[in-house]
Order: sequence, then C-alpha cells, then structure tokens
Amino acid sequence: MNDFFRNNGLWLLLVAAILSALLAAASLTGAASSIPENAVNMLATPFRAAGSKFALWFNDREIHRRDVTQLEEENAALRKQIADMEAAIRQAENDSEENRRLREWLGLRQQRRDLSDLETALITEYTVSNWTSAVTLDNGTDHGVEVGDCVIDPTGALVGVIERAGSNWSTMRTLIDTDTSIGAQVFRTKELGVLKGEFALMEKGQVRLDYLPADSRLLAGDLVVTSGVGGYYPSGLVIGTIDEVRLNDSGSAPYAILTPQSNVSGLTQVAIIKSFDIVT
Amino acid sequence: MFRNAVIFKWTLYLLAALLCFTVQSFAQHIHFLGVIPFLYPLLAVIPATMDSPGFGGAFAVLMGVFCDLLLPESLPCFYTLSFPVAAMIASFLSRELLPAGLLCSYAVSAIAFALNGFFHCFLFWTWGDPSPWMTGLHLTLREFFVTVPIVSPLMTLLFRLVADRTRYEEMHKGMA
Repeated sequence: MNDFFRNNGLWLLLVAAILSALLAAASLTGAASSIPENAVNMLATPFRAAGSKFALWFNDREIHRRDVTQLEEENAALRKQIADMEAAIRQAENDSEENRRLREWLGLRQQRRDLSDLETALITEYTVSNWTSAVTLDNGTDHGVEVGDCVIDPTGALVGVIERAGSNWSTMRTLIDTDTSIGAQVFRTKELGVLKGEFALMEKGQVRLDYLPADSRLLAGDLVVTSGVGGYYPSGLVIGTIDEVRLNDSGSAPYAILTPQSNVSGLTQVAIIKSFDIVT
Repeated sequence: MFRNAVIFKWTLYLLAALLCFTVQSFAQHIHFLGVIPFLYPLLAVIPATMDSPGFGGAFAVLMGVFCDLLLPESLPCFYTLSFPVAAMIASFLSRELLPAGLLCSYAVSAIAFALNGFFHCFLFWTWGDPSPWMTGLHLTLREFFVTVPIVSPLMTLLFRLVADRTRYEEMHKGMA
C-alpha cells in the first residue's frame, strides 16, 4: 500500500485536484447540478427514501409504543377511578336506603307518639321450622328486648310478638303462627275479637279472628287493628284486612279469616316496641 | 380405659351431629314444595339403629334438648319427648325386623316424620285447632319427600362410619 501511494500518490493528488477544480467550476457556472452530482444523488435517492421510510416507521413505532403505554396507564387509572366511583355509588345507595328506613321509622315515631321506645332489629333467619312461623332477630335482652314485646314493620303494621329473647338474639312468632292470641278490633265497627292462629290457615298465610259478637256486621275488606285491651299490647296497630266472614260449625257464632298486612318474607328490618303508653 | 372409649364415642357422635346441624342451617334457605328440609328427626333415629338401645335413647334425648333450645315450639319440651320415642321404635326395628342399613334408615325416617307430624297435630288439636290432621299429613309428606331421599343415605353413611370407628375403638381398648 505504501509503495502504491509512493509510486502513484502524485497522480492521485493531481486527479483529485482536477476533479475538485471541475466540481468548483461546475458549481460556479450554473444553478443546475452537474452530471456527477446528479448521478450520485440519483443513485442515493432510493437509499435515502428507504432510510427516511425506515426512520419514519421506527419513529411511528416508537410513538405508538409510547402512546399505548400511556393509554394503558391512563386506562388503568380510569378503571380504578370507575371502581372507586362504583364503590362510592354502592355506599351512597346503602346510605340512602338506610336513610329511607330511618326516615320511615322517624315518621312512624312522629305519628305514634304512644310507642315511646322502639328498637330496630334486622331479621337474621326467616324459617326455622315447617310447623311454626317464626323469625330470628339480631337484638335481644342486651338491647332491652323482652318476651311479649310487639314487633312492627316500617308502616306501623304488627308483624309478630317476641317469644324468646337471648342476649343478642330474639325469636319472634309471626301473626299467622298457631300460638298467636291477640286482642283485636275491627276499625270500622269497633267490634272486639281475638286473633288466633290456626294450623291450616298458617299454610295459606292467614289467621282467624274469633269471639266476635253474634250480630257482627263485618265485611270483607274491613281493617283490623290491635284492641289494646288488657294493656299487653299497644292499641291501633294495623293487623290486616278481612278476607271472608264465616259461621262456626254450630252456625251460632261468626268468625273471620284475615290476611295480615305485613308480609315477613319481604322484610329485612323491623322495630320492637319495648315500651308504650296506654291510650285510653 | 373404658371411660376413654365412652368419651371418644360421644365426641365422635356429637361431631357428626354438629355437622348435621350445620347442614340444617344451610338447608333452611332451601324451599321446595313449600317446606324446608328438616334433618333433626333423622338425628334421633338413624344413630339409634346402629348402636345399643340405651345409647340410641340417650343420644335422642340429647338431640331433643338441642332442638328444643334451638326451635320455637308450642310445647317447650316437644322434641325432648318425641325424639326418644322415635329412637326406641327405630332401635326395636333395627334389632327385630330390618338390619341397620339404607332400607332400615328409610323406614325409621318415615316413622320419625310420622311421629313428628302426629305429635304436632295432636298438640294443635288438643289446644283447640279444629282441623289440623289433613294439613299435618300433607306437611309431613312434603317434609319427608324433600328431606329423606337425599339426606337419609348421607346420614346413614356418616353414622355408619362413626359407629364402625367407635366399635373398633371399643374392641381395641377392650383387648388392650
């Protein structure tokens, strides 16, 4: 290599000088590119275009990757935000449901000022036996609940009576249970009777109103409320409406079949009347 | 040594009963034909077919006490009185007529449900209910068909395992 440059170096320098002079002359003579310049650039154009395309593609890919990453992060953040909002909505729904129930109880308290001490309780177990109609509540003697306390729904209708009470639980027999025996009064006629459970009626969700006067003027649809006679239960609690009036086997005494207004299966919360004022 | 075997036997039977009580608490949410499956009467009779009449009776009394504490009934000692009667009949049946097994369990289950229904209706009737018998019969039949076909074989298997295990333990301890 050294020999080549030593022998031909001068010639190479000369050729280079001539080419440089020609290129300089060409550039000075006109705006149009010279033939060699043109030829070189023509050859370079496809490579340049390919390079540019590749650079563009690479740039696009990079932007795409960055966008996707950004979108994924944004998506994750939005999902979390949606989950948080859904949780907040659920909480708000629960709160407004509780608010509604409390408003109902408050309204009831304002309507019935004689029911001086109400304790709300949740129903924890609906059916405990096929032979009785009873539910289990989550409040007991720790909350002041006692055997014999009346239980009402948010509309103020009688649901049942506490039969057993433990420290944090109580069992309530519903009105249709066979052990039911409550003094009742027909709202329209003021006739007194005794609400009694009957096994065959319990299966149909009904109860019997017994010991009515012989000249009773009851009609189907009449409202029956608690009589409050004896002071065991508050007076005026809605029991239900009369379905039909029948005569007993001897044909001498009428009795009525009625459906309680409050349906236990549709309830989640009830109120226990711990004490009440006797209204005369 | 004998005392340990007795304790082991009662513990095992009570654990099996506890399992049944847990299943009942889940079954209470299943309504079929208008009734819930009712496992408790089977707890009084199926173990009684697999062990001595004395043990079967005592176990039935204990189950009856548990049920009376758990379930609201018109008569506070309803199950304490009715379960031993059912257990005695079950014990007699398994010793004299049908050897303990699936068929015997079906038979004693039917007896347990029949007695349960009869005692309930009798109570309703004595307390002035005019016509509890037909409703009671329908309810007993529905309770039987909802509970027994599935639960009786499983409970028979469970108490068979318990009885075999306690028998083995007694023999083992006896030999030792």
